[in-house]
Order: sequence, then C-alpha cells, then structure tokens
Amino acid sequence: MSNNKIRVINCKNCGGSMEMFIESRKLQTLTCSYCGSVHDVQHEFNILYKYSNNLKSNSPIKLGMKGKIKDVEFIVIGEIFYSDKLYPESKLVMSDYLVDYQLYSPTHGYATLSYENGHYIFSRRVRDIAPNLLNGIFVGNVVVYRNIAFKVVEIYQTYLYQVKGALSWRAKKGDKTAVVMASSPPYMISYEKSRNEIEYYFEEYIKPEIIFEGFNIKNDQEDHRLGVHSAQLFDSPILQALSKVSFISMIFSIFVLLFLFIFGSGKEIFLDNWSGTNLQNAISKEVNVSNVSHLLNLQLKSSFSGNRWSDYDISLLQNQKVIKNFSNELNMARKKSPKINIYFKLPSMGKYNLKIASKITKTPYIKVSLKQNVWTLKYFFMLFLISFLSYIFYLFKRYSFELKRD
Amino acid sequence: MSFSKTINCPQCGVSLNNVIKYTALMKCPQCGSVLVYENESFRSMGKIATLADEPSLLCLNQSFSYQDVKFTPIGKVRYRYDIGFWEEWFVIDSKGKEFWVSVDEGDFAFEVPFDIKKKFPKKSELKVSATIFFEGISWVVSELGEGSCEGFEGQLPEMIRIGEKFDYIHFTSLKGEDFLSVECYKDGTQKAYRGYWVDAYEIKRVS
Repeated sequence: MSNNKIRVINCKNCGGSMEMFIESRKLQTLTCSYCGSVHDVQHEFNILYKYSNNLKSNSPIKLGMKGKIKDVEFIVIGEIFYSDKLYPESKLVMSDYLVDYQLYSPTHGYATLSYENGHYIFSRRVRDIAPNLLNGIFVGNVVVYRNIAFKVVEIYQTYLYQVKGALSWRAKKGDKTAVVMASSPPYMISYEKSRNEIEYYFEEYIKPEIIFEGFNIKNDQEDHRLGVHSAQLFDSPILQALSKVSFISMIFSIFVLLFLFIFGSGKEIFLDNWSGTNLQNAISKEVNVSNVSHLLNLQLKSSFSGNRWSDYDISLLQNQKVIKNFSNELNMARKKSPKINIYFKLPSMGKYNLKIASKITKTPYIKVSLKQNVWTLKYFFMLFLISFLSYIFYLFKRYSFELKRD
Repeated sequence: MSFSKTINCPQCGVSLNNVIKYTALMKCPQCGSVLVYENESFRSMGKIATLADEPSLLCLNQSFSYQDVKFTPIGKVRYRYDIGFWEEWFVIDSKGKEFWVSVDEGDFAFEVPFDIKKKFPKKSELKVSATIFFEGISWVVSELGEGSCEGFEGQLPEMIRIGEKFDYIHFTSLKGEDFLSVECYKDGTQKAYRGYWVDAYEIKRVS
C-alpha cells in the first residue's frame, strides 16, 4: 500500500530531478529520465545500473498521467520496453518493441497497460489460477479459466531493453522472460516465467479511444493500430447489427418459404390441355372462383420450346365483360419459355369464363391451370436472398479481419 | 444488524452500537481503548495508537458487494512485512456469516479460520513453488515471509498479538481454486486460514 504524493529525488549520476509519483514500499527502482541511471529505492537510491535512453513510444500515455481504466483511478509510474527480438538497441524500430506502462492504484494495487503497434492491453496479476495451467503447453491447446475457454496463441521470449520511471520490481537490461499467451477475445491470460518467479496475468483488450477518454487525452490521435491483435474483438457495430438482423430474417424467410411452399400453393379450380387444336376460334371454359382474398395463379405450360406466348389471347370474363386480360403478361413472357406463371387478383367471387384463343392454327401442346388462394413466394425469396447476401458479406468481412489477427 | 447489540465503553462510557455477538476484541472509536470480551462483559486493556489512514477499497462499516453478496467490514488488522504491509479485514455478510478478507495491494482473498490438526512444516523447510500434500489436497507454496501485527481498528472475533513476529506461508492449491495461509508464532502456535482469491475489480462499494 502506498501514499499518492509526488516526491522529487535528484539523480546520483547526473543530478537531474526524478519524480516519484507514489510512495509504495513495494517500489524497487527509480530511473533517471535524463541519463537512464536506475536507482535502488530500497537502498538509499544507490545506482544499480544504467540504461541508454533512446527508445520512445508513440503512445500519448506519459509518466505521471492519471486516468481511469475499468472505473479504477490509476497513475502511470513506469515504462518498460520489451522486444521479442534480440537486436542491438540502435537497430530496434518502433514496431519491434512493446511498451508496458506500470500503473498504480491505491485501492487496486499495480496493473499494466501494454502498448504494441497502437493496441492497448490492460492486465493485472491474478492468483486464482492453477499454478501449472499454462506450463508446458503448446500453441493451439485450450485451457479454461473463470469459465472462459482460452486458446494458446503464442509462446515466445521477450528481452528487456529499457525502463523509465518507477517499478515495483528490478528490471535489468537483457532480462529474459518466457511468455505463454492464451486468448479469448477480448480477454487473454498470460504466464510469465522469469528467473525469480512465475506470474499469471488476466488481460483485456481496450480500444484506444476508451484509454484516451479515461486519461483525458484529446481524441484527435490517429489510429496507429497495425494488424489485428490476438485479443481484439471484431468491432463494427453496423456490420454486427446487420449480421444479426440478416441472420434472423434469413431464418424467418426460410420458414415462411417452407410454409408457403407447403400450404400456399393454392387450390386448383381449372385444368385443361390442348394439343394440335385450332384455337383461332376461341375456347371458353367456365371457372368458379370462390376465394378472392388471396392471389389467383394462371399457369401456362408448353412442351414446345418454340412456342410464342404472345400468339395467345387469354382473358377472364364475367357476364360477357372482360374482367382480366392477360395479353400484357403474355407479350412480356419470354418467347421460348416453356412455363409462365401469372399472379393476379379478382374483384369478386363468382362464375367466370376463361377465354383462350390463338393465332396459331395448330397449337402445340399447352396446359392451362388456374389456382385460387395462392401465396406468392417471390417477395420472401427476395428477402431470403438479400438476408443471405448480407450475412455472407458480414462473414467475409469477419474472415478478412481474422486473417489479419496476429 | 439483528445479531448485534449496544454496549457502553467501560473506559469513556460512550454508547457503542452494532457490537456483534462474535466480538472478542474491539477498539472504542471514541477514546481508542482496547476492549476485551471476558466473562460476558468488555474490559478495557489500555490504549493503542490509531492506524495511519491508508487508501483502501474497503472501509470500516461501509458495505461492499462481491458476486451479488453484500458484506460489511467491521474490523481490520494491519500486518507489516519486509516490503510493506497487508491488511486482514473482518467482514460479515447479510446473514451474519463471518469472513476474513486479506488485502495486499490489489490482491484480495476471502478466508475463514481453518483448524489444522497436525504440525505444519517450518518456513525454513519449505521453498517457493514446492508442492506439499495436506488435508487431501496438493498445495504449492506461493509465498514465504515474516510479518508482525501493527494494530487494529473496529471489532475482531479473536485476540491478536500486536507487535509479535510470526512466519507466514501461503499456499495455492494445484488447481488454483483454494488458498491456504498459515501463521507460525515463535511459541509454536499455528493459525491457519483457508479461502480463495477474488478479483478486486469485482468488488463494488455499496452506497
């Protein structure tokens, strides 16, 4: 536990002033921001070793900043620069290393905010974990912690390059840490084994804008995120909403289509066929329409591929008066289409005459049927198609996102 | 609280409300006297220094919730060790069940006293990461150290030994679910507490 008072100490090497943002008995080292000398907080600020001071982070988080993460007040007390590459420091570029900001909260203790290629991960040490949970495990293995299944995504070693500010442990240049990382976005658990201890961390991906808001940093920062972090959630509210809506509407339209296919095909009230007949003299057939609340379906079939529906004249009459003439539909039908369906409505029930005539002297085989109480499938089929395509689009975007994941 | 009573401080006479039935030791918030429960009454044992105020997620008599259960801290003990101090908070839930909550810079554990029948290995015989089999469970030694009690506030269900040094050994079960803390005093007394670690971020103050 500590107090939250800033104390200024002069560097024993260069005399520069060093700020200690908290007074915690767990603090081990304080590093001079001018010359990189690491002072032993526990033993009269003796100089332990020296770092060069050339690594920089492009994160706007700075030492001494106060901010809120997960509703807990923190102060940034230290910075640690790691890399999984063992290069001379001068050859490291910004994308080669990650920065751990050591945070301190008087009520919640120490925590870490890791910054790597624009991504922020908030982590804190946990103890309610089996000591050997991630020990001796392989990439792809799945472990369960707090009822969450985590997949091991990375096993690597990090090397410590540089520290700044105050730390609760003695970080030495070149210190090697074996890290096992298991992910279940937005959470991760990591296991770190160094020379002296084994520690488990529970980690959570936090969007940069939330960090900026918590630390009162103006959110005009460019999004520096490169790639997709292993704990990053697919974050596109519009696409996610669209996927939910399209999935529901796809299922709904499938059920409706099935229902209509089974129960909405209608009741046949007329069926006849002709072949080799001269229809120049119109044929009239009586049909009794008893339901006009739904659609009627006139279905014309021909086995003759060279048929021309525009050569026919079909209409429905009542009391010698043409109620429905199908010439438009017949003219618009494709020339060689063997089958056409015409959906229509009638104003009233009753007896009608179906009049069929043709310019052709010897008509090829045609079959004419009329059904009432018909539900058309095409609107629901279109709904299904739109939903399906929307859902496929979401899956494609999601897949592209997952391909970029580290 | 239905399981509490009101007494008067035998030293200053102030009325002390909500003294719970488990209380064996308490500190008068008015005069700072240490009151010990003996023969069905409280007796003053003199005064001790007030603990320095330190920021904490838990506050005496201010309820908090953890996993939808409400707890009220009614006493705390502060222990010092090589790199700082930790606190043991005596809390009761809404049904009057008692617990200890161990708090050390973000590490929180709920514990209850645990009766150990056989003698525990000495601290010097153990090493961090060593595994021992005890009470049917394999335990991993997670921390070893020496501590001493600095003082207390509020009400406690048991006597404490202020200023006396003891060795402590922390164990975590192999599965990580259980936590065992053993305190070994120089006179051979052993006290043990068994519990589980909790996530400080799931503890919420109840206003």
